[in-house]
Amino acid sequence: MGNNVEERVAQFAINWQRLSGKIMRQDLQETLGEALSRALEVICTGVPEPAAIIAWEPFVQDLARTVRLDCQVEWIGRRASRANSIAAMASADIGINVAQWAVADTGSVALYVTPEATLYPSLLPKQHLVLLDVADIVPTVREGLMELRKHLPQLAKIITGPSMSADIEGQLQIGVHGPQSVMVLLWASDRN
Amino acid sequence: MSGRLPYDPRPWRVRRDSALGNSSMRDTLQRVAGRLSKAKSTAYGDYQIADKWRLAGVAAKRRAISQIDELVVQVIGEIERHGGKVHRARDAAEAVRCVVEVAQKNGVKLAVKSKSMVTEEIELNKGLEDAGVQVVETDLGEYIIQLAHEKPSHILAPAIHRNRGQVKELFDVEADRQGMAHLANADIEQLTQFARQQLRQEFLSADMGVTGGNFLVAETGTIVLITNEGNADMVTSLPPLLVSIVGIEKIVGTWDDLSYLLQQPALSGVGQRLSSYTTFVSGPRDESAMDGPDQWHVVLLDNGRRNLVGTPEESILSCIRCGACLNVCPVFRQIGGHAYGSVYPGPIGIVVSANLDPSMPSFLDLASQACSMCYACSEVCPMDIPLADEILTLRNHRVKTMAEPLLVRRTYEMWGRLWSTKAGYQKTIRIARLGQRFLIQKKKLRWAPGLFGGWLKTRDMPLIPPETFREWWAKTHGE
Repeated sequence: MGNNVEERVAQFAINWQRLSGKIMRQDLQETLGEALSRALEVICTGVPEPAAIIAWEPFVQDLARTVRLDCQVEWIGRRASRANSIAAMASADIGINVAQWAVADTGSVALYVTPEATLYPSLLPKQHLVLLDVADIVPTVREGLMELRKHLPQLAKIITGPSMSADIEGQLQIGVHGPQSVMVLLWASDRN
Repeated sequence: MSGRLPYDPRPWRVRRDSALGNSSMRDTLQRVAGRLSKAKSTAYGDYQIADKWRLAGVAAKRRAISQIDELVVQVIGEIERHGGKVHRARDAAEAVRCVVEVAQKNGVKLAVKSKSMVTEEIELNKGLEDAGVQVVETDLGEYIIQLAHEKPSHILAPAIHRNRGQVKELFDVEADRQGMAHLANADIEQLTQFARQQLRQEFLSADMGVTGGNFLVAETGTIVLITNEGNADMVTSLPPLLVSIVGIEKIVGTWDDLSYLLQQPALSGVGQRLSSYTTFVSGPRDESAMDGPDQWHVVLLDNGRRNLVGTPEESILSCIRCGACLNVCPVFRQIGGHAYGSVYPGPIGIVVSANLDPSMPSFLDLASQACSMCYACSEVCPMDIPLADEILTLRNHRVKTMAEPLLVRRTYEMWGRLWSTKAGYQKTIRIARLGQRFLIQKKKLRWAPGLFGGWLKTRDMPLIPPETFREWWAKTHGE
């Protein structure tokens, strides 16, 4: 892992946390499943049991099978119809997504709609967890946008902090329509 | 073709006094506008690339305006290639008609909207409601003013004129309507959660989503939406039908152009490097995917914009609606948005309203009424729009078209003539010294008759001394 990557990780972490985002990192000696268990254990403390967790993307579903938690959970995946899937996700407590890329100097993560991935886990539950491979952190928004332009999904979004508003008397409120709390779990794939 | 903008028919005097009498609005506005202005300068100050990219963004915007006709053709081709449908609207009425038709054809009963100034400009809600479509605003501030049947008072913070108690009253009425219990108190967090629960149901059951657009990228036909609450993500991903209404000036040529511009609204508007959500729509939902609409319609609105291309005023089409000029304007900070009588308030509002819709005299009047010529707006505009110069141009136009009442015109002419020479100036001092004798109260000028009365309504003036410095100098040292 080059020095450059570590610099980007550090910069990303500062900017992400500045916007009240939480961050955890996979330890050298633990598997990604173990790291995910650790992250979910933290998030679950703020959620009534059993915690309903969306694991949609195949990558996340595979990981979910290896997760061991002390708290009670119910995993939410694809249902028979689109409407049923949305209804199930709308009542979930925690959503998990895999980041396409992230931006170091803004503290942002990007998600695409693909046949395998949906944005609803990032939007409907009050808690959002993003898995981010440190190799996918780019220095600025520009590199990220060029990446997005190449793939051009019908729908994509860049998330920079939790859902918020200052519409009443200019007082900042977190968790208006989207998540109240956002966490990034940093991990390093074989690409690093 | 010029555009048509909605306007408040109340005279300036009434709009202004009603704003000045709203002390809770003025308190909040002072605090919030001050904080946002400070956040903006800090954000640029400690972010090296911000200003360099800003300048590249300005160039990209100016370029797009000069190529607008080609870019419109290109963007239509790209959106339709990706399965969207484009409608061109020459003016507000055409745009509304078009959206209503799409809604009716699809049997829409409930539409959810994300925040959009352009839909305020065309009064879309009224048009849809007249056609029997229920429209729900989903931005927290817009939701509040919709319940209050008001217009936004700030581009970014539309309900800035209402305090928490007033918001609770509105929510109580809404709770009654639905047979729900009132909130226990006017706690801002509780108010926000009330709106979240209410609107969540609307998102999940809406037949149509309506958005504006912060940028529209010509080379791929992508609409970019910048929000903080997440409501635009609901609106673009849940309902089966999506309509995006975008002014043609929002088009930028390429993703390269976009990359320089994308952060500017948040940097200048709220002092963040990016807003919480930046959403990219490039087409309707693919069958294999979960999120997005089955149909995507884009309405490209002119309403007086194309008319400005190639004129000295064309730079105002570069506006990214960040609100920085509002936050720094000493007039806006006192009177808020409603007093302007246009959906676009503040310095940019004066300039945009009068130029898009020249048929409305009350917009032109704002150039004289709601500006102190301090040039703060020109200084903060991230798109380098010479706002104060544009306001001056409007004033000039106003004088040339004799829009001022005769008495005002004659007074200023006489004043101008007298003060352009030393002798004239000294003469006015002597006249004023004589005149003030009848008006002195407790050693100060506290009122005056006629036109001059306005000056002394809210302030006292020191007296003109029995002997001025010049007179003393002439007496003791000679001319």
